[in-house]
Amino acid sequence: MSTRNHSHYRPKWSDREVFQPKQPIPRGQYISFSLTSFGVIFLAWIILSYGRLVDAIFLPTPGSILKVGWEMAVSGELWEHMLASVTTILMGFALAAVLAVPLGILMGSFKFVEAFIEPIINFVRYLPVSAMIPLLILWFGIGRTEKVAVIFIGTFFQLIFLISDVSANISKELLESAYTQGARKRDVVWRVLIPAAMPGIFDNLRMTLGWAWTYLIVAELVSAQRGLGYMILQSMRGLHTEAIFVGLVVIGLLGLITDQSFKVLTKLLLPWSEKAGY
Amino acid sequence: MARKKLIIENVSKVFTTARGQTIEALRHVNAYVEEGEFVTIVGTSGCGKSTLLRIVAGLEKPTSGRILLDGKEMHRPGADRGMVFQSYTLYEWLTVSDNISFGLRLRGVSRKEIREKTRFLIEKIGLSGFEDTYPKYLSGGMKQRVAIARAMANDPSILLLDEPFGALDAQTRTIMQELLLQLVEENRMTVLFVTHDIDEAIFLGDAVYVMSFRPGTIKEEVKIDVPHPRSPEVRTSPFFMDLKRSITAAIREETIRSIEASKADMRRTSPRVSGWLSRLRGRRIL
Repeated sequence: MSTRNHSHYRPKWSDREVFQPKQPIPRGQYISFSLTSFGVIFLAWIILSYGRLVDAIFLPTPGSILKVGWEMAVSGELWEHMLASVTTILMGFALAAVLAVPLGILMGSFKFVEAFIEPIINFVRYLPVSAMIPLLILWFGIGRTEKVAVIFIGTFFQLIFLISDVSANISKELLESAYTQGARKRDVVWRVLIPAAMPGIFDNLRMTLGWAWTYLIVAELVSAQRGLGYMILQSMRGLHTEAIFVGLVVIGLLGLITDQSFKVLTKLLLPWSEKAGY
Repeated sequence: MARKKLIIENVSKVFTTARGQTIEALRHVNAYVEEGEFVTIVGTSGCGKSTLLRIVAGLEKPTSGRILLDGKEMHRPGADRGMVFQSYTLYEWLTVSDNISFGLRLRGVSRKEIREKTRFLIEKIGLSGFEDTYPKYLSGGMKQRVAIARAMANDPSILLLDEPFGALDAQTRTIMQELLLQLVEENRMTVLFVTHDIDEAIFLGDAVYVMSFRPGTIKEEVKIDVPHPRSPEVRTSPFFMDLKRSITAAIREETIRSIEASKADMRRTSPRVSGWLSRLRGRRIL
């Protein structure tokens, strides 16, 4: 006669939750993993720089970078470049957004507009803006106008395409339901199509603003009189590696701030959207 | 005999696909809905029943034939034919009350009237307390309740519903059917309701039109002589079962034809595509 075998199953190390594909892990555990990756890199940096394993010209210590950053902030040099870059970005991006949002909505909603502008946009969209910088310098010089033009061209054609996609993907039945409630065409566009497109528009603005930073820095590296890209290039020429790092950190922080403000703005202006969270 | 509220007169619809093929979706469809009557149209998927409803709503033009509402020919969509769709079409940026009053606000109805009407409807659909909630917080069943109230708010001559409960789970669907029936009975509404669910068609309808597959025609017209208000027990009565058996048999033929047609469509696709499709089917993906 056999009895059922109640032998104890000894869990293996691979049975832990963390090793289950797609299995969520506790929040605390998640944060500690995130901090670990950050910590490892920081620790490596500290060992390499303070241990003088790498020359300070290539990899300065965190302390010296903070010191130089502080000095540049006090002297006002940092602010001057930062202000120049931020202003240029905002100008170029605002211009692109103001034109691309309505045009994109029209392109996504009306086939004749799509047929009219899509071929041109698709051509320009695959032209790298960086290739156009020499031409733009020739046209506008190396001042702010040229930088604004670079950002505009770099973001406008992408944005118009992305926004037309948002507007084209709004379900037709959403519009039709408005017609069956007595809405006229104008009502449908203003009261249904545009509000329905808002979350997608916000998302794409947020994404392209990130690209705008890349374009600006490239333009400033090529030729400029001020700006964070210019500051980085000058620091390289003088072998002021600390200042290069200061520039990188500032650009990273500015990117983080703009991204977070977009999130806050979404919560504030579009509390109803799925993207604003629950 | 009651007055004919809606008349579908000799409606045909031919679609031309992008590849130049023509599909005859509807052929000489004649049907009517009497004042205060709840009529359901049941048919297999792809039989053109939704197209027919969309033509009634004015969202699509018939190739020939016409739609008469209270004796007047209809060409455009309007609030007199309120519609509820299968997909969720609530406006995400509007609260429950603002969704319901969308049509009223378009027509410039006074604020007081809007407030009263919205409150009345929200209570009727059992969503009191959700007036200021955004649709993202609502379940599928709740969303469709709001969609029904939104269509009712405009006092339509006829309420059109296109498989409104198709995306809901079986239990919620039953509850929603009973709620809809109660709303219609209380407000003496005229309804045209499209579904592929035979139970639903019989339980809700005073008359059921059974549609054939491609071309869509009216295959049978069945009167459901069960008085209102109908109790949920109707669903299990012998009378109900007999009706269900005969309608199921009629639809079954059409479904088999629709499967054959989709096979034929498949054969018409290019060899490369059909090779792909058959491989996918081999892996039980299709």
